[in-house]
Amino acid sequence: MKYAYYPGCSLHSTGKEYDASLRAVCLRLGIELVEVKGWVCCGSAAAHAASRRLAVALPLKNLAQVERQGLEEVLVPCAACFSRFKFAWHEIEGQPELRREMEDVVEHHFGDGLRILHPLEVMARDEHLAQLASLKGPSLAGLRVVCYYGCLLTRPPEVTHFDDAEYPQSMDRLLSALGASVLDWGYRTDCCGASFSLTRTDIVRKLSHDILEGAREVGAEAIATACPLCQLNLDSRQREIEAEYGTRYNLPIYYFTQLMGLALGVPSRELMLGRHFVDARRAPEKVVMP
Amino acid sequence: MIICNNGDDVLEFEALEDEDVEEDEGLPLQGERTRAGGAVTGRGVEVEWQVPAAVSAFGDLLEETSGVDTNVCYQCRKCVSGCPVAYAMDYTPVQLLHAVRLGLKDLVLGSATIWLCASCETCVTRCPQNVDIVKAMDSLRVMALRSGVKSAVPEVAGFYRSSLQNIRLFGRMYELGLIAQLKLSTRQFAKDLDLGAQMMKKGKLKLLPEFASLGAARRVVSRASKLEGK
Repeated sequence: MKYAYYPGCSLHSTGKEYDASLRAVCLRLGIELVEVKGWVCCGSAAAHAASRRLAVALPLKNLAQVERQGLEEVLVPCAACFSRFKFAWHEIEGQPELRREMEDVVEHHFGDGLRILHPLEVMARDEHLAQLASLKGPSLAGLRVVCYYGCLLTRPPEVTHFDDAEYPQSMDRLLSALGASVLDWGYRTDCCGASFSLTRTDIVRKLSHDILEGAREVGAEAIATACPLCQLNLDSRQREIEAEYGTRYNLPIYYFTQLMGLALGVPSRELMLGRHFVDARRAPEKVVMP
Repeated sequence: MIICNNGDDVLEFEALEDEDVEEDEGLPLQGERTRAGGAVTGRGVEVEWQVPAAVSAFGDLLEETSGVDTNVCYQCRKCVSGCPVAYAMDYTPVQLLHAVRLGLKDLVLGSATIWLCASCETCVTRCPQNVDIVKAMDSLRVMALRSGVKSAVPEVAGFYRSSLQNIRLFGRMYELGLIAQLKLSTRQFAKDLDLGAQMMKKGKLKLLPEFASLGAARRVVSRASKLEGK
């Protein structure tokens, strides 16, 4: 299987572990990733606050490149990028005039076959779940984990067309197939404060605290994420949150691909577990070797 | 003629055509148009009614720029109960929508709410009237930035400005550049220094920007800006 791959800015900097672990997992599952040539920033949190057209044009510039490279399916692992891509496509699908305008801007005429996918969507497909469940490798059986999807992966459903907006299950199914004890909890789609990290850190601390508290309440030992912003907020701000609320969580925040990697026998160095703020080298100890 | 049988009461609704409403000068209209109207007969009383739509030019302007019709909001407050940042806002999302409807432009564009919306899409997903509040917030931020209104949360407005400049300058995000720019604009030089140092140590921030797609990004930005007429 072959997909175009749009890492986005975060996966080249703060979320390098996500990039590395995703590539490692895909390699072992026989999924080929072709990085979008000369990709540009999708506009992330900023473009839609400055110009409606720019917010659509930047993702489309990248989608045009996907088609030019002869591919129709693109994997977008960052939840914020995924959302911007989906929105852009949704907007031009519903507005032929905007579509023509935008095709002018990005100098490309779009076909109809383009599909924007989150890696979670691909990995949680039945065929992959079966493939993963039948592996005779290590198992995550010792790990009690909650799955945190964040805001943008599933919302709004008429734009993302992915999983359930209020009670998503794909990551739960995926990690369960790898043997992990996946716990039910009430914060799977709550907001962590997103891009306020640099500006209104007080909001990020409050919202991230609620999520960490929710994870602790159900007895989780770790949180699995699918978004570089969520991971960063919950991980890098955890010590500050503990100081502010006078409590101790010490909860490692993994990318779901890192946990998959462990179950697929990828060495923890390759998964960059040492780069986390809260010690993440505990999960490998929990992995049950065959 | 629409007849509603509601238990003991039989209500007869007579739908009015748009022309009827405009011609009838006796109706207490505040705006220029009405979206719906009718006459209710029940228990021997006849009441004429209408729902005034787009009572303010500001509401009209927002609808033109964002496609969001704030008049269909019936203030159920579902957006407020799901909003993770409502606690920090000066006006809750539903209050802000109502202010738009009332044409309180200065209040809306000067509010902290438009800058504190995290664009998490919870309100949009749950709104029973399909009011795209996030899209409305986007348009209101654009209006505020363009009209030069002083932002109630200057650091967030500064973050948007710096991020855009960052995209224009490098084509991709250059986090260190963004942080430096933010520090210059907010003058909070000591904020997160410790965290920043740790991130550098862990290799989470790249030292130099990538210019891989600079030309392409500039081209898109300038072409899109031209379409927006600036």
